Amino acid sequence: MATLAELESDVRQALDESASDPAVFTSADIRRAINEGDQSLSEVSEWYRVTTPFPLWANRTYYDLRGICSQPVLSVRGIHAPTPARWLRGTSPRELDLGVSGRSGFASSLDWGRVSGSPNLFFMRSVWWLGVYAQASADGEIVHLDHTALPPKMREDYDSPLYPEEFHVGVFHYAMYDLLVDDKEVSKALEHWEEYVLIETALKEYADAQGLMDRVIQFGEESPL
Amino acid sequence: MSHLEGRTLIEVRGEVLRKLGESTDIPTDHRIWGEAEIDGYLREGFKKFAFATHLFWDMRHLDDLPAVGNHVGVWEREFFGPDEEVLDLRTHSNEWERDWVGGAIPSHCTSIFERDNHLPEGIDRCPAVYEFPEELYSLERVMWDYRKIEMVRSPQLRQLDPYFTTDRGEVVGYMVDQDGARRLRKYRVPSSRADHYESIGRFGVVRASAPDSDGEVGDGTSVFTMHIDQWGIVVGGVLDQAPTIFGCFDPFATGAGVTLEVAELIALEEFDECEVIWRYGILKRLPGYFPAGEQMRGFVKKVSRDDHNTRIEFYRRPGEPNSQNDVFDLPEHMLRAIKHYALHKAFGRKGVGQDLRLSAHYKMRFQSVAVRTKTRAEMAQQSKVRRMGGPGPGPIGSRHPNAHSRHARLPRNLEE
Repeated sequence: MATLAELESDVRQALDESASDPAVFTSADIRRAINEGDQSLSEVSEWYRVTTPFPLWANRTYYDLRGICSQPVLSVRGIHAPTPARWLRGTSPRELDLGVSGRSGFASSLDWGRVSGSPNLFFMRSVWWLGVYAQASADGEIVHLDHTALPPKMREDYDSPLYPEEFHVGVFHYAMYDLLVDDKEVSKALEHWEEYVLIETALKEYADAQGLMDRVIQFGEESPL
Repeated sequence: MSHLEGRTLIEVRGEVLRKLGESTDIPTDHRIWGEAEIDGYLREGFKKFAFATHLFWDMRHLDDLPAVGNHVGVWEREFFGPDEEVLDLRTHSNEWERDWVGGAIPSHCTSIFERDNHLPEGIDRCPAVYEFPEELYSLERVMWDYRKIEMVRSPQLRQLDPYFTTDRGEVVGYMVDQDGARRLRKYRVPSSRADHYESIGRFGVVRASAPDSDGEVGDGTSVFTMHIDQWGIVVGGVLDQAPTIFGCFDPFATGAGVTLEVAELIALEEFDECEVIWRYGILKRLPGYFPAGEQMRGFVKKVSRDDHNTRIEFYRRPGEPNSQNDVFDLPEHMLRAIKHYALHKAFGRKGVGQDLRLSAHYKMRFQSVAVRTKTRAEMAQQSKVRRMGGPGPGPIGSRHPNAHSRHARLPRNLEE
């Protein structure tokens, strides 16, 4: 597991930069580039999945995710409400306008914008505005937003990227690419960029493959499972 | 830094210049890329990113209310004082004048109090044509009385209802191809006014002074003034418990030992049971209302009602940072794409410093973030429309090119 201090040391060594008397890149520069690499890997792969609780407010349809989550939200995967226990189903304004809600089986009113009750559907307007149907009838029900996000930045020497160690080298290559561009070593920088892209692709495949069920080829009818 | 804290123009520009190798030690006249040039690239990249991703979604009310116009030419707007409101453009006030004034939108009075007090006679007429907000570039949905209304083509409507420009009633549709670019016409012309809030006082934030009983501005006390139905900021407070209105209602002394609550919310029946909390701060939320116009996120800016009223939902241009301390209202990973756009343009510019390889590289990086952002937004909104009968096979024989041939047959696995 590569810590922030170890990654910084690796980058410094590759750049032939002194820790005590840096000629070009300071510790802050290197750590900034490392964090940018970590964030870039995380943004593409969406491996960081968290649950954020937030309260529903009475008579409100739209919630700004920027004010709800402490980390930037990338995509919403689901919403769980505790009372009664249920997962809100995804829909769209178009389906709500048509008076049906597709997969969920719930029927909405044509003036769905003022229906209040127990929210059972959610939808997105652009990337930040989360909408619920129906509007909560009272303040305070806490629901849990299941979403992907950017992880917190590494700050301490012992901090480490939270994805598997096999992908940490991607952070190294990104930092090298970023710093070599600053140093006008464009060819070397783009070589490291190519290496970084390979790791980025691999991490995305790893994150996408989580939860895939194994298929067993059978002779005869396909199993109902 | 919290992801909610916007990065200022000067900070982002500095990072781009550092990436270009332009240190602050280099005298300005010896630099390859100037600050103004980079600022231009950043603004351009911001707009392109917003357009490509449909990032900024907003809503606005085109109120079913008589138009209030207080200027007759667009050029007058820059001469309005800081305490004056720019209301609608007024070019004529009666329908018969339209024959002499081409393509103009009527207004019926010059001040808000006239409209609110139903003066002059016949003031209850509402216009049908509205200008889109300047920042709108893509209209998504139009609602009336909480329901989506459909767009109607003017050629079709001319045949169905030749009097559509004057027919009054509930708004059941809208047109955008009748009255010129960036104008929406309601069909029908609203026959009744939407419910709205009366406005009092001035708009703005008064923090350190208050009018006394004679209306003179004094010192030392915060005042709650709420100017509803126009852009306004309320001196407000902090939500303490629900349901409440964020409100700051500080008393001020009017005489020996007598204090008065300054503020009143006029004609707000639904807030009757809401508890107003005495705190300091700014009004941040009114129950049930969407904070439209999010350039100043966190402020209640305009409160309109949806009952028997028209609302548009649209994608807007971002608020561009113009001065040094204006912020890019974007999270860091999207702001990085804007910086890449600026680097792409800077390295691509002809002359000293050009590096086409890096220019292409940063263009690729900008585009990939834009594509991913757009894909995420689209995936969240994707939904199939269910049709009666489900997505099954069509009528017998219809899948065969010679559908009417006596030799057309269903595929074997669909035959009973």
